[in-house]
Amino acid sequence: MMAKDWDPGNCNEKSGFLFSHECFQPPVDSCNMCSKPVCQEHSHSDGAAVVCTSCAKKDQQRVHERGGSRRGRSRYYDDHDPYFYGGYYYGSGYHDGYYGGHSDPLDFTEADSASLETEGDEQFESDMSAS
Amino acid sequence: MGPLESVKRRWMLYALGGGLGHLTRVLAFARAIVRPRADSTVSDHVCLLTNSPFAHLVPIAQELGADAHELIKIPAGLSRDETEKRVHAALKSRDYDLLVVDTFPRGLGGELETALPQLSCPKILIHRDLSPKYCAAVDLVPSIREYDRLVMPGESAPFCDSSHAVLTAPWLMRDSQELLVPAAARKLLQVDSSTLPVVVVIGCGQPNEIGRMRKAAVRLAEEFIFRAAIRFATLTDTAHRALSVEKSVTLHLWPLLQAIRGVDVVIGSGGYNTVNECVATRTPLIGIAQQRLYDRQELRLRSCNSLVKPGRLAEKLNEFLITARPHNRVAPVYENGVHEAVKLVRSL
Repeated sequence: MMAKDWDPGNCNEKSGFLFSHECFQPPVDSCNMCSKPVCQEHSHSDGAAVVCTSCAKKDQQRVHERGGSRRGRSRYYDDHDPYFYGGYYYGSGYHDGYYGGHSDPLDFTEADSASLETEGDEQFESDMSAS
Repeated sequence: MGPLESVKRRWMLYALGGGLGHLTRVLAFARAIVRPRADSTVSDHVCLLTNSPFAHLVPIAQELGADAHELIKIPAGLSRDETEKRVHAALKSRDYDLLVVDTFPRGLGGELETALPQLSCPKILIHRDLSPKYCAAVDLVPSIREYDRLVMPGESAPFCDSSHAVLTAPWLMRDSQELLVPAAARKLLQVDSSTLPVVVVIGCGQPNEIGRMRKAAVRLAEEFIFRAAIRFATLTDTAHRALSVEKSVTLHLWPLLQAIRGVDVVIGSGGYNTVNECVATRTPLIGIAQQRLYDRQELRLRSCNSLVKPGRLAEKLNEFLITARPHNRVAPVYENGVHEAVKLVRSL
């Protein structure tokens, strides 16, 4: 198979939260699977290798299909990565948030995220008040 | 059967899950099912299966019509095994032409895993985002294969790439043309002023979360007196408790969506209905992510720039009141995905 001609000056990933679109961020790495230059936002790492969002999603899909979903998570999967959330019908940027769409990345920290984590898997399918 | 003789189609709708969200979404879908159609001789009947602790407070008969529905309420406090028995009994004792399951492919307690293969009717899953931890811990694939169609109500989901998955617009309790005009909405919200910004704090979810939101509403009402009309909207039986609190008004209002054109900003959680109602109507939302076993409220709120820390509510509301553009009173026009979903299912 012929290698693709990637544009080395830009991130070449087109994955959006819902709709595909061009990304004009500068690349910080290249995908270990397809060699695509990718920006920070479109990079996913398992600690050793970096892959692009498309390849990370494909890897997740393969894991799902191969082993069923039991313990079936790609090594690139991140619970807090919006790209694995899948996205919304309206797409990113449709809603202005609460005051003009200026989100404050420092406002909600990793510690805040961690406080929302549930402990262990033992509650799954046993707590009938869960949602 | 003669050409004018009517046919009855019976829908079994599985809406188990804590809180109000599962029931609200399925009820929105049920409204679209039972809506009279002049061009059809088919009449529809829905049987709603729920264990929502709010089920007795929601005016279901008013929404669906007394003759068009049956409600099976499974008590919210039952164990997993007892819930399973009740679900299996309901599925065996009723006749229905198709089954629609909300969110949980295997059922809330995994109780549908064995039941699904025994059902010969078409089966549809309302397929939504689920915690990756849950997807990793439980084998969902055999149950997913049992469904004839996966319908994604405005958000993507773990099996979104399946050939039988379809994405619709979000499912909402009201179509855009059903929303009250601003003056009528403000009246329903008990706001006399026509200029004061209206802030609605939603009290829903777990009892402790409702309590926290109630306290927040009271605090905001004191802090923002003369600057905003703070309303606390809840369905709980204990709503009267806040009536004694000066400067804040508790409303027994559901669905809030009907009055949203009278609301300047919503303060609520990151649940499916709250977020999608605000996004569809472009109503500003200050959102607090609540901890859930399956639902990822933090990411949903992040995706619409509405996530804040609970401790910064007053600060964010202040920012909003200072910087917000004048309220846009243009009627929102949005697509309610329930209609497409019903059409899709009917075409099976």
